[in-house]
Amino acid sequence: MIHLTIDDRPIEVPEGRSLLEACRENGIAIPTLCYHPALEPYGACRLCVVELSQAGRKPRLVASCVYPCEEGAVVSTNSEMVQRSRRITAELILAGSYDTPEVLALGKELGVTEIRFKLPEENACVLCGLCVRTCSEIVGVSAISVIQRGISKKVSTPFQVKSSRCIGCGTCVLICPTGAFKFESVTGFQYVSPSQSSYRLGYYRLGGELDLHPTYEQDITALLANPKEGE
Amino acid sequence: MGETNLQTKARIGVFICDCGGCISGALDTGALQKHIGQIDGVAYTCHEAYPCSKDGQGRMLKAVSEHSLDRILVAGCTPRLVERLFRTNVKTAGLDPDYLHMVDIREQVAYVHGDQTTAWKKAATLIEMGVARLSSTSKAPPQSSTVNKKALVIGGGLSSMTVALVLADQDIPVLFVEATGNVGGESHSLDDQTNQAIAQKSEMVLKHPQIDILFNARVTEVSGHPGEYRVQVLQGDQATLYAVGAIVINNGTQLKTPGSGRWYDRLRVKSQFEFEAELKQATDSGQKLALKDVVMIFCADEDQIEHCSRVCCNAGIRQAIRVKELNPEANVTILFREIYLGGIGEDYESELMRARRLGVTFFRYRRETPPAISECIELIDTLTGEPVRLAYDRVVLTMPMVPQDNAKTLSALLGLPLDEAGFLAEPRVRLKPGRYMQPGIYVLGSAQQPADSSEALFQAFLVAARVQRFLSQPGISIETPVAAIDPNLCTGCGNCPQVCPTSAIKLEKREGILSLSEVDALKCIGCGNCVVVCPVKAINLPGWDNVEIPAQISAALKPRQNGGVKVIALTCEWSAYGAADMAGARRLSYPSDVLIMRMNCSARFDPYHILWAFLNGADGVFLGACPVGECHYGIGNLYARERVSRLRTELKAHGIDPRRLRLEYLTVVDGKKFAEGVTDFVKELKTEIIKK
Repeated sequence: MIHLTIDDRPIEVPEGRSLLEACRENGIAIPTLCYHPALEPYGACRLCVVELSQAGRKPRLVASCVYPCEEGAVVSTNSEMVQRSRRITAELILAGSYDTPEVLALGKELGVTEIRFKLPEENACVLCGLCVRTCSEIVGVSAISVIQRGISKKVSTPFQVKSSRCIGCGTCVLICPTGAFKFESVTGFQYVSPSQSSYRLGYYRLGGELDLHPTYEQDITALLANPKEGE
Repeated sequence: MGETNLQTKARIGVFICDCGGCISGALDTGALQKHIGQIDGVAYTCHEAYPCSKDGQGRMLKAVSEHSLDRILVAGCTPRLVERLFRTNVKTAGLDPDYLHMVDIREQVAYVHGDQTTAWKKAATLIEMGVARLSSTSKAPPQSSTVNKKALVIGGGLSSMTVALVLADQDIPVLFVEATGNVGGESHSLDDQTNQAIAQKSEMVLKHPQIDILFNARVTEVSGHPGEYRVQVLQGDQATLYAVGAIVINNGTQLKTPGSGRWYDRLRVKSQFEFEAELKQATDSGQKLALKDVVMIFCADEDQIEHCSRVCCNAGIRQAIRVKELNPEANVTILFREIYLGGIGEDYESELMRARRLGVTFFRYRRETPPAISECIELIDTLTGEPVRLAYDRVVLTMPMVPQDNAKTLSALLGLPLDEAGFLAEPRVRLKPGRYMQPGIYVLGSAQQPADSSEALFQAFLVAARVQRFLSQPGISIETPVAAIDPNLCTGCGNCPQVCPTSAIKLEKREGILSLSEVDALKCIGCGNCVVVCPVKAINLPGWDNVEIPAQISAALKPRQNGGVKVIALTCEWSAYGAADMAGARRLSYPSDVLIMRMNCSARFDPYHILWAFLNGADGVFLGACPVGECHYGIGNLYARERVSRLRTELKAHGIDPRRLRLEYLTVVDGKKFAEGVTDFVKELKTEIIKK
């Protein structure tokens, strides 16, 4: 067990916990945007920063989602330094997403009163990477990734063409915190080709790949060409 | 058969998530925990902020051992995000992951129902439904298959010989099926080094004790699944059945024949192959080559095929050098679009430089303006933009490599896709090179696109390593539920093989006249279509069986005093269930009367279950399926549509308003459509259908 102090409270946690996990476990709320318990921490949004003081070092800001609990650490989750950092971070996120209600609400919560820097184009995507990590870690497909660098960084499929790897599960859209994710732009999921779709399904279900019998494709093509009028 | 656990009573642990206030803010989770604790079968309940955190998972493990729980119900957010996490944890706890059930009380309750009491009641009902389902569910028996440590190699090119040799050296028996009478493939004007390599490998393949070569043979039928393929090989008139574990395909390529539109007369205008023969003749006879103007056109195909054939630039340049050697006064001109130089060794660039030093002229042309062949050759030089006219007494057309004629047959035989050009496509060449559609099927060499010798060799070693790894595993096992047929109940009616999307079910003659269906567990994708069509209900699909689904429906329809209508929504997890998640994530409210049940596919919407719901007092049944053509299991939704339309007629005949059954097609992101659809359905039920 590791002993540390968070917000003047002595806290004991098992080894290997991050500061964020320790805080949540003890009912201390920390704002996050890119953190999800089912995914590996990513440290992208920097909203979860906390002030860490260790013996012999100046107090400094660390991202609590990726920083491990250390013996004797003194952490402050809501100090002036932390609040200022979060405010600036939120304002910088808002610079690109100034019309997105979810981000605006977050900014308001963190005390952003005005947005001093605005990019010419609004973009609801805050590059939290949740969709990319979901696709690889939960779905196990990796149909999307973050491409390019700097201001042109964005989430896309390889070579920016619709991905045929996508199994069309929509988990990326579900997990997107700002509703920025456009499903149509990503999925190249060929619904009409059952041999491919079920191969993907097989992949998803088995962790390997299995394929449909080829004759079935002919059956379904015929069926789709002359669908029976049901209702 | 699923191992039903009816004798010993299930001990269910219910873990209610507060989701850091997201859920506990909308309903009283403490009271919910107390309420659920009173249900028969529930041995342990708790509610906590984050059961998905590492500490929460640890506490779950502790609760399982302390209270000797055997089934786990987690009521929290959507299973799509955290089911994998909890399944892993349940496995760690030593339980079967099939004994985990997830109830979504965040997206389906907390996010969409503002009123505390309504939300609480719905959450309680959903968890009761989950408990009912979990207590009657059965465990899927583990399905596994052995791996037959034997490989089949189709086609005898350089790369397939390499694979065969690598495998055979590792003591893996290799069955080598070659369509012609000798190994080595066609040497398409290959260089000496490659030809030497081929000759060397052919000799080794022929001698190797572990390699069994069948000449003039072809594969006519493939059945079975990865690890246990049964392959029929036709040799002459004799068909033999072989059992192999993995299949490696390299059927190679062939040269396209020039079309008549290019003055192709085989005399003045020749293909590269024919020209090579002419050069060889000249060399052999020792005469001077009587050619003055030789024009070679690379990528000479009329259709201007997209892909590069890899070997023809090298071959053409070598021929140009040869012409210059035989007759230094000859004018050799090469017209090219792009030049690709590759192969074994690294001296191809120097070959090009040598050709230039010998005086070979190069002109580049664009795809849009290919050289026109008439009495002379006209083209537009890209360097100057000026038209160029060239006289010729020999034109050599370098034609692209196209797929072998049997590529289509092989694709149908093995269920492999073809790319636009007709080659056996590798879908993930960049992400997972060397792996193919099925784990036991590998395609290499020019079968997937023309390859030069170095590429082919590289691929061969890669594939050989993968085949080795695949064949070295003791067995393949799957954990997901698959259909199983009770042989004591099966009447051999033949319904299930007809509807199976993967042809996993085969009707086999047994004991004389009686036929019985049998499921290939490794091919089954668990859609449940066969369960619905089985007239005697001999088929079980653990987790989606005829026991737990009616139990869940009954729990949903237990008498309650909330005054509203009772609506069961059966939703396919790939479409409407996801749409309900989206509706929740976007906070789109809909009536709390709708109780959502997660189904694997719309093919599993069983008319009996719908009737069961109506008989138990449901006011309406809402079905959510994928749009037509978008089913993840093929055409499950078309089956659902047909079944619903027939069921409506039946309902009408028995005095039930058919409008009480509604089928909607939703995609996974149609949250708004889902919310509007169920709202409209409930409104219609309340105002028009149920007149109270």
